[in-house]
Amino acid sequence: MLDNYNDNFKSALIKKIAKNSNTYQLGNIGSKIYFRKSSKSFKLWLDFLFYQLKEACKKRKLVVWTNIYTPSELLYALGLIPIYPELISGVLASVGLASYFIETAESKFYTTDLCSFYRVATGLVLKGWFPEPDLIISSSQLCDGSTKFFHSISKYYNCEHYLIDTPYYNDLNSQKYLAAQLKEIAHKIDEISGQQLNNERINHTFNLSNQAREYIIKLSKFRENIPSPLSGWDAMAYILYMFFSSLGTERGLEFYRTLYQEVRERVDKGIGVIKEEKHRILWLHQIRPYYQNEIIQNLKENKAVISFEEVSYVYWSALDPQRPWASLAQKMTSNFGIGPIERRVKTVYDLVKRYNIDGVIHFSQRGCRQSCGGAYIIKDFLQKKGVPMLILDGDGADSRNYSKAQTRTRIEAFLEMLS
Amino acid sequence: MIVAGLDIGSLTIKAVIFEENKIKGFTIVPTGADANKLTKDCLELTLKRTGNDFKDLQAIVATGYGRISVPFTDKSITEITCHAIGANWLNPDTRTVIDIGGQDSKVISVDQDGRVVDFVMNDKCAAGTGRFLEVMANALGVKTEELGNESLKSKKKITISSMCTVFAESEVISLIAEGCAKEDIIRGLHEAISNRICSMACRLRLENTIALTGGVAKNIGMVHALKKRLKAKVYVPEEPQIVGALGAAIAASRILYSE
Amino acid sequence: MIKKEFLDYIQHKERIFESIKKPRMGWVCTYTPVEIIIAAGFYPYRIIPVEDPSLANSYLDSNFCPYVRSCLGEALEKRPEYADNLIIVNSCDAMRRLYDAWRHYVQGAFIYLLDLPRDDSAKAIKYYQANLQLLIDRLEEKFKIKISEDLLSQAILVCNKTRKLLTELSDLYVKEKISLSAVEFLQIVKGSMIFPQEEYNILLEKFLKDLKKEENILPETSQIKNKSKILITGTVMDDLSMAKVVEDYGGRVVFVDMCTGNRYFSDQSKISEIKQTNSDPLRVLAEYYLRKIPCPRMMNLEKRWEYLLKIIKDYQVKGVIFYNLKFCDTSMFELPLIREKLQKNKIPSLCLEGEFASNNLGRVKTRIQAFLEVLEFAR
Ligand SMILES: Nc1ncnc2c1ncn2[C@@H]1O[C@H](COP(=O)(O)OP(=O)(O)OP(=O)(O)O)[C@@H](O)[C@H]1O
Ligand code: SF4
Ligand code: SF4
Ligand SMILES: [Mg+2]
Repeated sequence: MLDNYNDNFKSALIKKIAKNSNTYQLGNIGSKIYFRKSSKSFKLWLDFLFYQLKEACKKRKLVVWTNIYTPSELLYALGLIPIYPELISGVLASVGLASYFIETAESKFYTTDLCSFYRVATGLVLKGWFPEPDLIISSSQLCDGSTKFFHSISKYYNCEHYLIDTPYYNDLNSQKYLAAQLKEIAHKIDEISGQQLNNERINHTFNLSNQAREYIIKLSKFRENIPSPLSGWDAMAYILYMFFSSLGTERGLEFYRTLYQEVRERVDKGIGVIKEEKHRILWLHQIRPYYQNEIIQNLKENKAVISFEEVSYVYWSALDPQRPWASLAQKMTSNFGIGPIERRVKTVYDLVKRYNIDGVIHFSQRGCRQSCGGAYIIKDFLQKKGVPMLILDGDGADSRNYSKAQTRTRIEAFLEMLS
Repeated sequence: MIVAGLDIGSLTIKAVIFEENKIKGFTIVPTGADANKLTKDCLELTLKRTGNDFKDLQAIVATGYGRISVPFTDKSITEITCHAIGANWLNPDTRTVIDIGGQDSKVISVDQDGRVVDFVMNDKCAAGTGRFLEVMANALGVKTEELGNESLKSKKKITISSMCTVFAESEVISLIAEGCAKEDIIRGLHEAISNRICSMACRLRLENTIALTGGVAKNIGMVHALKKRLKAKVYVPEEPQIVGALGAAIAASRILYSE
Repeated sequence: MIKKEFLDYIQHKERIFESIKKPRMGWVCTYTPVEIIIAAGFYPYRIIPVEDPSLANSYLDSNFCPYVRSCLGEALEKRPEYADNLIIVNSCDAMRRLYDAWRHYVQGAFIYLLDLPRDDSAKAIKYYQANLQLLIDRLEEKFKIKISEDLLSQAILVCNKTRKLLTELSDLYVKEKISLSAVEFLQIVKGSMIFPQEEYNILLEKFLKDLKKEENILPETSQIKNKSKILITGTVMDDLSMAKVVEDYGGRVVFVDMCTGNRYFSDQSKISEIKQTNSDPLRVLAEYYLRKIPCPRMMNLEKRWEYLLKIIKDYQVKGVIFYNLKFCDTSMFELPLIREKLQKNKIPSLCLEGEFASNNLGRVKTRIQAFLEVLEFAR
């Protein structure tokens, strides 16, 4: 439904950015750049993005830089304004601004072997584009690059870095270690902010998150429908942004309620992402290429649709405000991306069955050690179950590593194989 | 029924005219700036050879990198599918196809009907492709076509460790400076490429018979190196370079049947 | 024992494996508490692969740490030799994936992943201690053994001794009292990782005693004072040809801040003798390992920088060479920051990309030589 939002967004944002290189202004004008064609949920996302940037610039609350998989509920309960460098890197890539930051980072010895999302983010830091952090809270579970990026940045800004060291195993000992860390971080931040984290705030935040979670689950249910009512391409763009950054806020809840209604309408009317749906694809890895590329057109031309993507899977149970730390710790450790690969394999296979998947595409982000190392094992497993999988090499943010023709050949050959 | 298959590769354009389950003629020309015109010329040249006319063609299928941009075709299919079809037609025992072309190398698993079961391709760089060998041949002052026979003369094993085109070139140059024999260096290059191809091929279940296709399969030294490393039954078609175009032509005749 | 004989003896993995008929337990990261392996009755050896990393291509992409890929490649190639026991530490994404790939494609009798926290806070130490207990439980269960506190304490003593001897050797080496090249020094460190510890201690002690004999101590005058002193910092370096190049061109490697160099044995926080402190040996181990000189993987840049600076001052280092294995995320992120700090302190540095084997030695040679010329010039 929003396959072409990139273009609209791009022209508007580039124009604005060209005029005001200062992000505070970017925050100010953000709410005004609506597009007639965009859906309501898309506008809500844009609002949210700019609202947060603006708030961060105002500095009335503590600004925290953080990463995905750090439970946003913790941050909102503590009254912090989070900034997500890697999500913003994706947005910048989608408006064609990534290469500028990538080159900046590379000129300072950040090599091309590093994940491009963090090269963009490093460039942002070096150029001083975004509201400076008062502190940094990141979790180690996403990947090594992310963990070390935040650590380095804390040295750069000379601020505290609280690392949530996510354990490998999902046992009691690990959950205790994690819960203790979360609790300690909360206390330290209480000290800095001078506020008191009380049950009421925890209750409020957790409830908002739980309600949004309900909508996400219902949405996931809708996506079992044939034809697919929501494109994975969107799900991995602005929806993904909300998935990681908005849980625990009013705006987040409103976003998901709206999206739910939009998708429901499409399901009711039997409208699919593409007219004739021949291949249902499951997309693996948290990301996709965000710069201008032809992948989704290639899929569409060959009647393939991304019916679901692993990143949208709700793996955690509802949060319990009575046991806040244990509950957040549990949310983190129940992520199937942690621990032995079998956990991920199992989830992927469940999704294949649940969404009637014909073929799986694993997007192997160049420079990503976290996800790509498991791709061959997943492929082996799926193959034994008769599910074909394509390992598609590419780059999410650095368009220099994208080859139109080569990518097209791989995708088309894969779809020809499915036929 | 006369059909044509066109394979517009990154280095060469191939045309095959196919009639009643037989190859009637083919042409190979280098790819240039104006691929459309070259493809047309290539096809016309082939038609001239077979004594046919453009109007005689009942279906045309294009494959290869330029498959989409050629206007006068009925359908475009990727070279992966085409190489599988072509190899299967030439030798029905084929279960694996290794196509080494100018800028891509591909390993394809096929079933008894010539359908693609799985495939892998090299990553972005030119390592392990025909282009790589051309650059090295140039550095050695040898014609690409002579690489194969030269390497067969080799008596000494040299290991080439770099696979990046630029680094490998400098490695080759320093080996020459050290006084290594050309044929030994060439053999080393062939072995390095075959190692790379094989480690890629291992990602698939390699089954007999393995067909070698693409222009590089004309290089006898490469074939030797691959055979040694694969330890499998290897089949090299008479003209391996046209297998993709042949597959496209067969696909074209199938379009007609299904209509 | 003469140097040549000693070096020759400790270098050949196959020969050692053949001559020592003890059950082996492999390890891959220096955060592995080998004391536990010894206490369990195994002989710990670090996997030092020699095979081409590309053998692992089918399971790990080429943009993975070459050490990890080499380990897997070699295991796939020489299955029987490796398919016994292995402890992997959760040090990085690559190691986690190695653990997965190993279980699927190599298999073996016992393979365990030990989780490792990223700092040395009290909580982390407690957590790590609990993880060590889990490892012990698994070993006891799997091999039907009992790893008593006594056995652990003894193992700690054995390893302490190795560390002490290596430190002693390193002191003699740095002060240039003995004739030992950087490569030889590193070979001895490497040897300590593939030899059974007790046996190695005896050999090394004898070797040191011999070294310290009067006739072997170099006269003051022979000490080449005007060589540029080099610190090599990085992750893992099993191929020593780079160190050789430095010395061939007239540099002197004084400290190797790597898991395969000084970091392996120099302990900042001395590991206490269990008997004296009367504390739980696991606690002692947890503290020691988390508090030793951190590798880039730990989240403690300050500590790493302070200690590097101290070494630079103490050893009068003139130049620093970075040798990080390619595709190692944590060290790639750290390098620009350390480089900047070095620049502020007017210490020139050179960044080399670590391949696993000495590919392109030609290019490396040119760069090292030029770097040494720069240092020479600056004096
Ligand atoms: N007689 C020969 N001896 C050795 N090599 C040859 C010979 N003929 C062609 N080649 C090699 O084959 C390569 C071209 O192969 P081919 O025509 O299959 O490539 P392509 O289809 O254009 O490329 P791609 O499939 O990657 O797009 C050239 O790089 C050349 O090195
Ligand atoms: S793509 Fe991979 S390396 Fe990059 S941020 Fe995501 S998990 Fe980390
Ligand atoms: S060098 Fe880096 S990537 Fe390699 S094993 Fe060590 S920490 Fe992991
Ligand atoms: Mg071709």
